[in-house]
Amino acid sequence: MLKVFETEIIESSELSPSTYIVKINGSISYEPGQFVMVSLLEQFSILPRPFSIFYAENGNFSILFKVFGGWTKKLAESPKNTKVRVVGPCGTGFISAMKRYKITHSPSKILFIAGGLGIASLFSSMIHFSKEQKVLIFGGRTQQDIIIRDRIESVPNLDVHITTQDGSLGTKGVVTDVLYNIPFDDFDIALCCGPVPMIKALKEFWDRQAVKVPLLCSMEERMACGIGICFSCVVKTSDNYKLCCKYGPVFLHSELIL
Amino acid sequence: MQNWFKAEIGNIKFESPVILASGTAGYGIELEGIVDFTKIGGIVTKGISMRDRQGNPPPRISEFSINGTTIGLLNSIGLQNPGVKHFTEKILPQIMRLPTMVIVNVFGETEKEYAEVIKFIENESDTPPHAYELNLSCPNTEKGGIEFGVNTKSVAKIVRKTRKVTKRPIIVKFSPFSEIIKNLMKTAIDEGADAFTLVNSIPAAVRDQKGFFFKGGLSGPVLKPIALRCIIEAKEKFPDAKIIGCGGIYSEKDAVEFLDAGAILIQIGTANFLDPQIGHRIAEKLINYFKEKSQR
Ligand SMILES: Cc1cc2nc3c(=O)[nH]c(=O)nc-3n(C[C@H](O)[C@H](O)[C@H](O)COP(=O)(O)OP(=O)(O)OC[C@H]3O[C@@H](n4cnc5c(N)ncnc54)[C@H](O)[C@@H]3O)c2cc1C
Ligand SMILES: Cc1cc2nc3c(=O)[nH]c(=O)nc-3n(C[C@H](O)[C@H](O)[C@H](O)COP(=O)(O)O)c2cc1C
Ligand code: FES
Repeated sequence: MLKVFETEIIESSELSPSTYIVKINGSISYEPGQFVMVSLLEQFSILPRPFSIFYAENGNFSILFKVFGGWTKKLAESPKNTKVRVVGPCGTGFISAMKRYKITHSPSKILFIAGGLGIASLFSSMIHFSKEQKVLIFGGRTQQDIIIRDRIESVPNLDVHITTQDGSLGTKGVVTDVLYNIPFDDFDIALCCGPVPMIKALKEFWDRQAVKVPLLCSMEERMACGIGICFSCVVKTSDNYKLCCKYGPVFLHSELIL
Repeated sequence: MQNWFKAEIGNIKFESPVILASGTAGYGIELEGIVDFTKIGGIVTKGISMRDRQGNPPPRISEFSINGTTIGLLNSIGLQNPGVKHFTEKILPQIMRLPTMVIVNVFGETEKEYAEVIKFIENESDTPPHAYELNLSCPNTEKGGIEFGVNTKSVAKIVRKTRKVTKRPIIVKFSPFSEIIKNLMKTAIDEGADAFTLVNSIPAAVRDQKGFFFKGGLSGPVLKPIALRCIIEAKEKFPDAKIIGCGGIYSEKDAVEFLDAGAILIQIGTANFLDPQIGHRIAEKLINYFKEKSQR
């Protein structure tokens, strides 16, 4: 259930230059694909910031993030014990979205497609479906974008394909290049998260190749509240604008207008 | 929490001085289970118009900062709403279950539309709201809103027409232009307005990282001194006017400044985004202020 609580950072670690994992005290019961709104109590900022729930264990949860601008820089510099406010879990995650779109509840084979930081949102789904057969296509610009490889390797029943645009790791190219080799008939569902150009390319691929497997896309839009009270976070769909923080962040590819 | 506070506008009574401002608390129902509505004086809905409106394309928000600290929010939502029919049938009955005063914020593209919206609700609703707030100050639409709120004739017409279709309190919401407010308040009072919300966001623009200019209504801490000035001057000219203070309130201290400046109630807007519980938290802290005031 959605709640608002004040707590503190219990651990902060730098994964690679400008990418961090921050562990926050407090238990949160969430489903994969949901996110939290975070604010720093001691440094005023007019808006909280949205982050996918990357991982949760007893009594704490983590977010995985990259420094983009001022706010994320402050978070990266925040040491242990820094006080934060958390609003969450927010949004409709992958499981509820599967229900909404009447997609099978118990898929036996799942395709994951992550672009860079998009892995933060998909990782907990991979853990959630640990028993099922899974394939992950993970793309980035360079090998530096291919983060948390050790954690990904420890996920059971997972085949991983890596692509980098400069060829520094895995196949040289973009995620759609690998898709041509995927036997789609074997899969019940595909989940993706990444930059908008990637999602756009995937949607085009799905349409062009007439892929039947439902593709659930986790979207990002600028958010002020994360809980449906400001109407700022709209995503264009075939049925008008929808709130990314409430109806989303998970959308079915066929309803998105990108 | 009862009996520490009383304020009246027309025939309605508020039991807490804190109201959640239009556009920053959805329709209230999104906050069930998060906000303690028994500690809140009321909520103002997102603006409602006759027909449904899609609103503006994203991005709809941008921040204004100085030396890395954000002090203002610009929004350009474009009054997205499902239209008065859907609102009255599907949403209003749910809002009216909340244990607080419900004020419907009304928007029109034409002078007539304000009264049409209210008339529709009055005729069709089994669960009418407690009051109406007229948004004569939306900075984000091509037609209506702020265009009317700076024009004496428009204010007169809109208030007169809405007064004819409802007995419930009518609250007029103005933009933060102090001189204009002073001139228009008399007109609105003469036509039957019961109270004023001072102020709405101020038209502004910022240049974003990619070099684009983002135009929207500026709210948040940067608006506070401007809002205070509007209230002080309005109060000097119209000592009996009932004023609801709004603009950059983030703490009990901010709220007290507005109350001391002459507001009888306050609205919290942008601060709800940082902490959706800030309304009832501020209300709890204001209890002492009012207890001390009553003993003075
Ligand atoms: C549902 C959701 C989940 C997210 N999950 C993650 C995650 O797990 N890890 C991660 O690193 N990032 C995530 N993001 C993106 C993250 O919120 C932004 O990177 C962060 O807000 C940037 O803040 P900033 O001040 O550092 O950068 P800024 O300089 O303000 O902006 C950098 C970029 O972030 C975007 N942005 C700015 N403000 C907001 C806002 N209020 N809401 C959303 N985006 C904004 C802008 O479009 C801009 O392109 C997520 C966003 C959403 C909507
Ligand atoms: C995202 C957003 C949406 C708003 N929508 C409306 C609206 O529909 N009608 C209205 O009268 N005011 C609207 N406002 C203005 C607020 O109600 C309030 O007057 C203004 O933001 C100043 O107060 P604040 O600084 O506390 O936010 C909106 C403000 C924001 C930030
Ligand atoms: S972020 Fe406020 S409605 Fe979605």
